[in-house]
Amino acid sequence: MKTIIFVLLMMGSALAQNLTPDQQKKMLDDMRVMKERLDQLEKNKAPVTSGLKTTNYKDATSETNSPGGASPGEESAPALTADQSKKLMDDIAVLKKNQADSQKILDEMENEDNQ
Amino acid sequence: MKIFFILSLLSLQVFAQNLSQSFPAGKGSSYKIIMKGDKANPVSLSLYVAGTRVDSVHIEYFMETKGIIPLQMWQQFEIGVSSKGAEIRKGYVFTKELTAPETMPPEYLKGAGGGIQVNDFLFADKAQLDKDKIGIENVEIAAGTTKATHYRVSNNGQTVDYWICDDAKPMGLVMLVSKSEKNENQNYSLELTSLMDNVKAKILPEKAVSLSEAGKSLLAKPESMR
Repeated sequence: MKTIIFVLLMMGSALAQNLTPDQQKKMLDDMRVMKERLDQLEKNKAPVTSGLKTTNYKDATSETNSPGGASPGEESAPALTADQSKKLMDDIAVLKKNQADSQKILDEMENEDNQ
Repeated sequence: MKIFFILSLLSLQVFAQNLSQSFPAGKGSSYKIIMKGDKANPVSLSLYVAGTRVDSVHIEYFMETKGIIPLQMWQQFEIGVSSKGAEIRKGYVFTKELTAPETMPPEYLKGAGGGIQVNDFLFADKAQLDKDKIGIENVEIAAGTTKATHYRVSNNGQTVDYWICDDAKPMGLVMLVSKSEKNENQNYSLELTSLMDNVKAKILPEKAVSLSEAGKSLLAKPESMR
């Protein structure tokens, strides 16, 4: 659309050089009206976008579909990705090992005290 | 008032349609409501289809405020549909402070007085709708930009402009502006923030108990009790 307007303006500019002042004024007025009409057409053309934002409440752990998701106000926690899940399990394993090691040391210290 | 207005808009769409196709369970719309121009404290409102039966649609709404006293409230309405039109048959309310959903007595199912009433819309025919039509416009809302049909209705000093769009089905409503010089409470606006999919209803009507005093305190006093 802008290209069309630009071409029209260029044509108008070239023509204007051979016109009387009154003719130039009339031509400029006509072009202004045409530009306004083009702008209006641009505004009124088919929907700009139809992609309205959509929020899916489906619970990742639910096997049912509709309406199997969460209710508003109690949205389920976002599901972890495979990498996040593996990291979480690794962290838990490390914590459990540390806890077992600490317990072992405590037991040994108690045994030494008793002896 | 807002809820009744929106429900009545829905009722128009419900009439004489294949309900389960037109109102698939789990689909809905989320809105942001600005009351009396207070943009700092918007109210979130979600409307979604809880279920459909042969002759009725169950619409649930969730309202949330995040001000000094945060509030979360669910309400569900059964809208009966027949050849005579649509009517709100039953209503339920629930908050986290209540132990179970509570049934709203019939007097709570009527719109607040003084402005646009449910009947103004429930039994409006196509000719009336066309009479209210202003035109088709591009609207920019929080959920995006779309083309919607603009309608305007006025009654008893309240003027409501609303925009309906096929892209926002099943609710259809994308924007609403209510103005009144008589009643400050009727000055509010509403715009679509997101469509909803796979929403689960919070209220199970079969588990509802009678309306308690705590439940009453959550609801606007019916006109018949003022």
